[in-house]
Amino acid sequence: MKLSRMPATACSCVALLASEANAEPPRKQDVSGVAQPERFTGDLLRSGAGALLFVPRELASLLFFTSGAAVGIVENEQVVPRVRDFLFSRDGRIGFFPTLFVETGSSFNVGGRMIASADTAATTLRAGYGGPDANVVESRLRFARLTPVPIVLSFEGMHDRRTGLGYPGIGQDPRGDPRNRFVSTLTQASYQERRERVIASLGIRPVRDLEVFLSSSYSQRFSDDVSGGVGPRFDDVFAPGSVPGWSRTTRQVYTELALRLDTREARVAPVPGTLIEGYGGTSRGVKQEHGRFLRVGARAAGFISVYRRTNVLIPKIVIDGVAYSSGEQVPFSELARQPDFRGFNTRRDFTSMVLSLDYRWKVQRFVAARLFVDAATVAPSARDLSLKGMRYVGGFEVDLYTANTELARLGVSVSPEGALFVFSFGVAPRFGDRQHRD
Amino acid sequence: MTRALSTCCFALSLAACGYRPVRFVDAPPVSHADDESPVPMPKPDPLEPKAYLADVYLRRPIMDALDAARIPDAGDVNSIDEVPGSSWFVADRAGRSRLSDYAVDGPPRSPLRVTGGLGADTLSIADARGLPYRMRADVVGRPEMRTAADAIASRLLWAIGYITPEVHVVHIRSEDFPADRGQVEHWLQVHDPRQSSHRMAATRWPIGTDLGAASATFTRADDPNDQVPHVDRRTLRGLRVLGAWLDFKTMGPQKTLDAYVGAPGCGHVVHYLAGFEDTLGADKVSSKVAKGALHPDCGGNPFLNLVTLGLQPDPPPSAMERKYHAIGSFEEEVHPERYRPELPPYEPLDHTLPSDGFWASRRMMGLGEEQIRWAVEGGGFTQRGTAAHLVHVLEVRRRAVAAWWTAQVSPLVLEGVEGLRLQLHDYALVWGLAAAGTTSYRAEFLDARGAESGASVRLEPRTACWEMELPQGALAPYLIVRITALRGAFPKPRPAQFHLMIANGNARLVGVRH
Repeated sequence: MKLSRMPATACSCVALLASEANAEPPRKQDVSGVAQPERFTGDLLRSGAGALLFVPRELASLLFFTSGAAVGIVENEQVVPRVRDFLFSRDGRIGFFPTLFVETGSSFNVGGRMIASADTAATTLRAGYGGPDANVVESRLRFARLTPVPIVLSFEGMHDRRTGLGYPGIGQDPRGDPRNRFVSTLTQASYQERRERVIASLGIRPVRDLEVFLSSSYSQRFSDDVSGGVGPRFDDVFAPGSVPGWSRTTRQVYTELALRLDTREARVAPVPGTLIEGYGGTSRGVKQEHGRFLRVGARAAGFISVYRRTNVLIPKIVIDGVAYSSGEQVPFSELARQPDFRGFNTRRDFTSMVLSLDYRWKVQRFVAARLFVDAATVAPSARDLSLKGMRYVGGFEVDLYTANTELARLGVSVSPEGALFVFSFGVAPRFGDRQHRD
Repeated sequence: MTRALSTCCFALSLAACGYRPVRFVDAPPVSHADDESPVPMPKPDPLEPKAYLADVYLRRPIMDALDAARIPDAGDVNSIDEVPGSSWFVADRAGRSRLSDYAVDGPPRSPLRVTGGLGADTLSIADARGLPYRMRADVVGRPEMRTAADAIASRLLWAIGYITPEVHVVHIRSEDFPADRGQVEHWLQVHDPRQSSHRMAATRWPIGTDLGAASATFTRADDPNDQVPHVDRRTLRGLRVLGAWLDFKTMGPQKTLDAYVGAPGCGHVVHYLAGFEDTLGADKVSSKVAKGALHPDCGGNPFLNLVTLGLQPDPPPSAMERKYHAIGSFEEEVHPERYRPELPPYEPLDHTLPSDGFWASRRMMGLGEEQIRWAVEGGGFTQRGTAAHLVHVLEVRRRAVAAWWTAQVSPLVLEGVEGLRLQLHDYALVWGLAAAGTTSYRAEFLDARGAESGASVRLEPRTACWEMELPQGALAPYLIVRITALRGAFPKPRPAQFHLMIANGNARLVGVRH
């Protein structure tokens, strides 16, 4: 016996379309023929447990309700997607991801990210909390078009507070560097920082493997001692006034032009190719006497398949530099740092170099593992960069990825300074480009 | 103390609420699910890999941990434990289909033109009639393998009753594309410069408007006809059985495609299975790697891949591969109890109940030898003996898969009722998967409340098809006959339940559960 149904072939389409707004939805189908469901011993107990778990279950379900992430919206790096990434529509979806970040030496940070995407636009809102002095709220709006070449316009705003940060002084060996004026035997000051930042970025992919970015940011930072007097204070370690930018609000406008040549067919998946990137930018202080300097740098990496296409050996070199005219002062928070160094990122100076060698291999679909070793050094200028006295770290990571995004990462690194553990989910890897730097 | 005691008593009372059998309405079983009512066209929903991974690796474990409920019975099953016809499944096709009905549109007809999607080994075209096809080539060095797997698996699943787009093995040349000859010639040369004519699998797709992948868990929110959560669909759960038989390397939303068929506003969504180029061992082949060339992506055991840094040697070619170049690593040996496709996991397969497995086994074993041969012929093997050997392996594998799944239930089917006499078939014996000489049955009789309505009886018919007279003393207006098969001294884990309405000395079947 068939349930009664409207014969689709006989329907009057015009009439149906006209009455579509008032059309009765198909009635709920029950094909089971069950008048009373089966009940097993213990089912009522299960129901009771289910009732108790209802709220956390619905909350977890809400966090994962649909999704439609646009390529690159969650990255801390400017990205212009390839042509093929435009070839499917994303319209009207809103998704939630929980975010989780745990790293040795930093506070546990948990939060959520909401992503909404339409055909050419995507927006994300992220909030994370790791304590009253460790929180972040970030919003990004991104427009991407394909005509005639891929082009991306994005706007971002962020506010965050971080605590428990360390400053050991400038140079590869801060204690021995005469530019640091220590007042005690303490080797590192602890501080907290409040930061606001807005970024506008225009990216274009004029040819298949080349991206060009023009971006500008306004950032405002205020650094002071850690609340509650935890850790050595700045004035206990360094002579007052000897660290430019300490305990005052620094405001910088930074404008940069960057070019990236990336021949890999996917940004994150282990595939062969070559990456060469160069940038140059100017920064000037706002409402402050000093803070005018240049940033310039380059990054080059090879992705060489070994034995299998998805076993990739990755030698990489990253050089960053800050150039300033004499008499100028560069705030300590604006010095070149080493985000690509996967050990304790504590050194700063006007020039930085990080050498890396990674071996990454595909373990399973969407899962890869990595062994790596990094060597890093800083110096007052490019001429002073040397392979002597470099800091080393080695480690192992497993990550969950799609072609262009890292979804989660679990890793450990070991150096003479100690071991570092990191777990992240839904948080962009590393610190990205200069606009998104630490 | 008093509060703790009362809480314990309450919990114990909940736990002690006893078994109550299912009760069916007194109505004929539904033969068609009526899920093809005209609906507005839903929005296309392309698979978002990042969201899918987050769902599979994070949401599902969290939700499963917070869910104390038992895995429910499949929601697309009628009162006699069968899947009625629907936009997911053609119920009356298995074993009775006209094989000629498979090719509705047939292979693409020249002249052809490129419509987009020039991938490494894929091509989207339209034929002379304007019908779209997706073309997929074989891996260089292993001709016929993937194209044959796609065509064969599509036919087998179609014959079982699944809705699959047609897949035809064709040979194309650049001359078939008069308007795009240069572009196609370049693409064919890049793909395999040694060939002048290229063998490809032509999939008739999209049919209607491609709406993207079907969710592994939920329904399509803007399709009012889609009312059963996909994780609870027997048609998808049953793919665990068929996946073990045909050796699906992967299973996920990318293989379950939805399409809107009909004029906008007058059509409905049809749910297809597609993309079977990695079945029949086609993606497990051990390629002969030229000196200095890269080995294929690692598959297999992820733990082994992890500890060997992805450098473990490729497994040696199997005997099957060495002898039959067009067949992948597709052996007679199969372990259905351990079968899972490659990660990421596919949720309906984790919810497959023994009753789902028995249903899929019946559909699978219901294919006649003629149908299997027809499906294998669709693969277009050129090497002599390949087709016959593949038919043999398919037969051996399906018997092994069916043997395991029928051992999880009491595989009895009520073929007819005459008065108070039940005509029963034990499909494990019908298919020769168990020995009639060591098989017996225990029949229990329950009323609608689950209380015994008569003494149980022991039966030893020693045959696959037998009859049982309902004892007069056990009759009740609503009678449940619960029969447990015993192989030797070991009862099967789940009995077969037959729900009957008894009136005027006649029994009428109203429900079945396995």
